[in-house]
Amino acid sequence: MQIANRIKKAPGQACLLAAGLYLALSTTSGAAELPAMPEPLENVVLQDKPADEQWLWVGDFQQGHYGRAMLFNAGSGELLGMLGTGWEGIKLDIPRGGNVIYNHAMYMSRGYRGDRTDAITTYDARTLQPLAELIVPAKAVRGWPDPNHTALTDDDRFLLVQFTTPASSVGVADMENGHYVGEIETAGCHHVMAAGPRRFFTLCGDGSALLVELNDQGKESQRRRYPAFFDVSRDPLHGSGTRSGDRWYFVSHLGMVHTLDIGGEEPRALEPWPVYLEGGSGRWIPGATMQPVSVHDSSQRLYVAMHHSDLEIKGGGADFHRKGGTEIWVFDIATQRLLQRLPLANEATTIAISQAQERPYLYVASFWAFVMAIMDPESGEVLRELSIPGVPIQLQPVR
Amino acid sequence: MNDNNWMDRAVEHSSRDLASRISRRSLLGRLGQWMAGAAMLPLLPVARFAEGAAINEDRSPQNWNDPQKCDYWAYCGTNGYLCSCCGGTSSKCPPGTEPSPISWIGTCRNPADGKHYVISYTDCCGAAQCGRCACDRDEGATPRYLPQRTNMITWCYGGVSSTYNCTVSRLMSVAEVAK
Repeated sequence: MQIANRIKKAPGQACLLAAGLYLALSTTSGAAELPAMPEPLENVVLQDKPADEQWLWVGDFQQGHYGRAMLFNAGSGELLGMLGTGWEGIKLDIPRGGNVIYNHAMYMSRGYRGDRTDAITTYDARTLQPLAELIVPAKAVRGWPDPNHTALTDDDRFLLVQFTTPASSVGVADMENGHYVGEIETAGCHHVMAAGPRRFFTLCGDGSALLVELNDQGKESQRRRYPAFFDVSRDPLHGSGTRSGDRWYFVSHLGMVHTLDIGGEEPRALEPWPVYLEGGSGRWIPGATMQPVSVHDSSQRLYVAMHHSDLEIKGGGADFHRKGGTEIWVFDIATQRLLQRLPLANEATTIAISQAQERPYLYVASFWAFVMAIMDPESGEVLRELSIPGVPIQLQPVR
Repeated sequence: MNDNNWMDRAVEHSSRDLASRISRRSLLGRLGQWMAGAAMLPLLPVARFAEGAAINEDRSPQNWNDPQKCDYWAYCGTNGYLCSCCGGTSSKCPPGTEPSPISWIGTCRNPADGKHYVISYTDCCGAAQCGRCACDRDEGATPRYLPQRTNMITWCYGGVSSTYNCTVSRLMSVAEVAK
């Protein structure tokens, strides 16, 4: 613009300026630096994640339109690629081999109306191109995405999908053989969480856990209901639990950690322990209803999004359990001791810790602010902040 | 059979929740009103979800009587877009959408008379999300394993399109509250 103005005012000088500019460009960007021509028409192909890099899938809700999952290099902030995840889809299920990625998604034939099709798509993990598609009954729960709306069994063979019609059940797909197995009734329960190569459990509305065992064909072989391990009336659990090894961790609305050990033949509920703190005419309690809790496996530290509440019951009932976290609290699981409090600039709605043994990253998404912070979990320093304009709602660190 | 179990649990937990806050007599009265509401509606819960730009914009208790504001008294359990900002009203779906025949029911207190009212939260379905007047109140909202009052699920079911546009809050009856 400035050059254009000068041209209008002084044509002679402009010619000299243009000639000089051409000469400068010719000498600084020599032909040796140009690619071979004609350049091929091709895509970037992802390489195996270098051991010293930390990658993260960010589920972007796209404000409730057709969603997407975006892959970032957390260290550099570089966007590496993305996948479409259907309407209100988001969750990716990544088998341990790392060569493929599964996504269960819902599509309407005319965009937002028409016939509904639910499909599990298998993507190549390096090209992010679809390899195969498995059509499953159009029954998957929709709404706010949740990490435990789908799950892979521990041997990666069966993909389990939470159905809600509104009756609750779990759909089973055999990903090894590429076919849909069938549906397992889980009335009164919600969320599907793996508990071994051939079993899963779900949280039930009476505070109990229902454990379902599968046979090698993916059919239900046995079910057992374990007595209530939390009180749904007085202190319900946030449904989004997180797993570390053989233990699943949940936090309650009023600030208790409930642990379900699935390592043995029978699941075992461990003694609950508190993360809440009384004070200031109220209590610090867990928030961030999407993913309020995360565990770093090697250090066995528990990260919980916390906020202060006066615990007021309003005209329609309690709402304090749905507030975002204003701090991340770090606990040592073995001693149940609070190690750190990390204040946040934006309220956390989803948190996740990466699993690097040295210098992991703490990821904090704030979908009201459309940002995701990458933090140093030791210092609490925000190392990088990524703008996610469509609503960052689910965080899946790549292992 | 499964649906019956689910319904039983829904009623059980609704009753337990109410019982902790209101007297037996008023509980019966309120349950009766809920039943009346249920007769007008195919089933219990539904909900909403979804958020977007400018969540909870312009929040102020002074807006308790303005249906285009999130603080309107009858939106106390809402979590979604207000249909009153999307071509509909506080109780009617916008043109181009379909009301879901399945709804969830809560109660809200009306500051004008101090009474509690039974509210049916209904999702309007079959179009792209409205994206205006996102409202996140969540009073009385439960986790998904207590579906009767969860607002984290999009229940555009019962023959309508599975996509969500906005949520209305329909007044069903007066709910008697314990003194």
